[in-house]
Amino acid sequence: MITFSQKQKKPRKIIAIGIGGAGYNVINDIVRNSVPGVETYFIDSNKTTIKDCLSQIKYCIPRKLVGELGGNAGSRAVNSPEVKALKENLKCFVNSLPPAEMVFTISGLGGGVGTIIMPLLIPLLKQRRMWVWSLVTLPFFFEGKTKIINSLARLRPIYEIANAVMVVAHDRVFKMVDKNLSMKEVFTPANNLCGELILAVTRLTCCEDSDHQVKIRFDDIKRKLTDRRATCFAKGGGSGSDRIKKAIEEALKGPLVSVELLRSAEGIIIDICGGKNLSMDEIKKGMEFLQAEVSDRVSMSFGITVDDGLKDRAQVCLIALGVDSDNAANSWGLSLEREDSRRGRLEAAGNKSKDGSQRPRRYRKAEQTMINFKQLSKGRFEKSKATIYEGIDLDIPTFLRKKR
Amino acid sequence: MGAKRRDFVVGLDIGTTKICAVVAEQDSKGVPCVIGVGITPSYGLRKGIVVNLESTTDSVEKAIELAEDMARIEINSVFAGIAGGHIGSVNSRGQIPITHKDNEITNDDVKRVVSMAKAISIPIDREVIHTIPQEFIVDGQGGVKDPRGMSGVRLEAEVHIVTGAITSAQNIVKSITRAGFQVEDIVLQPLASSLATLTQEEKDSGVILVDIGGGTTDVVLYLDGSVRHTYVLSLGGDHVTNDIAVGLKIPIAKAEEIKKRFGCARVDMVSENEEFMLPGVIGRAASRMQRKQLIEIIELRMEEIFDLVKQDVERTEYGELVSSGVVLTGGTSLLKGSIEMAQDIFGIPVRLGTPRGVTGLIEVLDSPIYSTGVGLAQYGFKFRGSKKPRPFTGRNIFTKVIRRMTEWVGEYF
Repeated sequence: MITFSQKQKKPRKIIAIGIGGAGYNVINDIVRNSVPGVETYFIDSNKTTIKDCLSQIKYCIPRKLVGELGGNAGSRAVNSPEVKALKENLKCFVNSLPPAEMVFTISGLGGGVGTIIMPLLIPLLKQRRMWVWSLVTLPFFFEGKTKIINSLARLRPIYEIANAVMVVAHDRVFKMVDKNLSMKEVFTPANNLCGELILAVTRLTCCEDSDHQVKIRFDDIKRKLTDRRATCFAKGGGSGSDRIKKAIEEALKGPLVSVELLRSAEGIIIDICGGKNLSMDEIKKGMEFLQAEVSDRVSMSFGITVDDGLKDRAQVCLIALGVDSDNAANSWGLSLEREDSRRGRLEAAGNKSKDGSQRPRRYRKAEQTMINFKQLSKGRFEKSKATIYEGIDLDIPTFLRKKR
Repeated sequence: MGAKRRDFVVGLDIGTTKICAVVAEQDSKGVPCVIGVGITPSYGLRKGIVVNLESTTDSVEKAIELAEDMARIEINSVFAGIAGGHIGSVNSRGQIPITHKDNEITNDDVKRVVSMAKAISIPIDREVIHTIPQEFIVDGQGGVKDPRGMSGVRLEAEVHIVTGAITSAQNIVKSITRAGFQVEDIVLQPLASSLATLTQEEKDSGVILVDIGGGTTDVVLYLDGSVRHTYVLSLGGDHVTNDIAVGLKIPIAKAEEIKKRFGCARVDMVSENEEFMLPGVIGRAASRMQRKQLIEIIELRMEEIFDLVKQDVERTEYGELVSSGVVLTGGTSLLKGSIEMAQDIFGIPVRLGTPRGVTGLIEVLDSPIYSTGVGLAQYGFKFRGSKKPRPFTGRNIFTKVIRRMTEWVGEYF
């Protein structure tokens, strides 16, 4: 008898990397809600958040390295020594990641650690042939015009390097929620949105359970994104008759989408999740409603999951891919006029920094720190028995261990 | 050939960077005379330990062949050196009562007291390589070198015991027997180097021998004419090379070349703006580089090696009693400025140790890299003087390792 060996198909891996404060919130949220099939990582320079983060693997960037960069790493010359040192550090981290199909990088753009690291991290991830989906949060309006304008300036290069970008503007999110929200829950809706997106993508592309009726291929998502890399996400729920339609209606009212935005999208992915009694007719009605709202030009693909726990309720997740990024910016309530003034100011600032850069800079050596899952280079002694002396690995070049 | 069989010994230094065979015969005055040297690069060792048996065997074969060609003799057996981080040493003391009628200490008494002294518990995977008597104490009177024939009721012995991993010793023996030669004995490398480089006066007044090789830095401390302390640190010239390779992002072979040509142990010994050509590697053009930058890398590593040696010596009770200073030998001691650096760190006089006490090819051998090889040959003569050679064979490696424990006893009389 001939038996065929059944090759176990490896589940597609999805990685979520949280950076800095905003990343901390989202990663904790993901871990608490235990999104299956997602590996979480966390990068920060702050030891307290590193300690408190629930992520499986955490990576501490030396505070010194980020401190002096002051959130301008993206705009500074690529080969400046500080950036180089930081890059080397991040390379260590990226090389230690397992091979993955898709990586979500989550950070804020308010000028903290995430702002510095995100633009450096994405190219490194792409070098490893990972598909990068950036989730960024923008500061509140009340934090000041300058901060918003700066963060928008930092957003632009990210559009160019990441495969897909989703922007979570806190102000938009807050318009939708209860005004009397306690400070503790202040970030919950935004975190939920990021978590839900990752969950939806995971469910659509790599869910292994048999309840998943219609799957979307991972390549579909990739194909739908061409030059316009902005994405947006919404979710809604409904119950009773026409529950799918109701859910879609609710989703369209979501903080990050608008009908105009959906019309400009390259494609829309809909994840429909319902109880056992989900009928084809309901789905058809819902899809027709959505089709009528957005233009015919937009191609749609949908995945269906049956979840007994939902009973007569249904949930819908909308992911719009390839949204016009300028259009998206408008929908966050930022006028183009502001953009222009920003540009002018940025140019002025650029000139200023050019003058400043003529000051002689002291070269700082690339600095690496000991982390638990990747050691420092030992060169040819990589594989021989380590010479440990009083807890120090002497095979690591002395000049890397000792600072002058 | 028809020539009469000459009495010669072969010292085989199996090092991390090179394997070196030294053939010596006794001249008319009884001084060892070197008649042949064979040297080949070594690829099969890391930090003094065999990691690739096959390439070690090849190098051993080649080195001995070269020595055979030069000396025009056929080599059957060798004295081999051993080093590596697995080497450990301890001082021990034993005591027996003398119960003969006339209270005269005999040869058997000496053997008994030494075996009492070496009765220390060691892990099952380790074996004693050397038991070296330091001094005997007869009825509380210390400093006795040879107690035989003296009268006393109580005999004590202070010995220095060197232990090593059985498997590491086995692999050294294996690589030689596989090359088709027999091993007469295995000897701790720094002890061999000390035979070739130190004078009796230095040993009496106290001296530290620091043999910085490719893979290991070996230390022997002599005081009152006997070995008080031995230490093998798994750091050496290879680490310097590796640091350069990592620091300047160049291959190991190029780093080695640069170390030898432009290397220096102290930054203050080169002028401020001196430059050198960093050779191009595939796809990268040659470029100029500040020599200071290179030397900063080397300086930190050399400083660390000397510091660790100093710390180790200071931990023993003998560190402050050494009055003849430090003797530096081994390939890495050729690095410019290393003598000066050692002098700064140890704070006592430092000299370069090259093989002495031999005749023959002395011009060839006048370099610290031959210290261990020549020392092994000298050890061979000393050892052969008292006993017939009992070659190691593959089968009884263990018994031999155990048997050799008493042999230094014989040598000391």
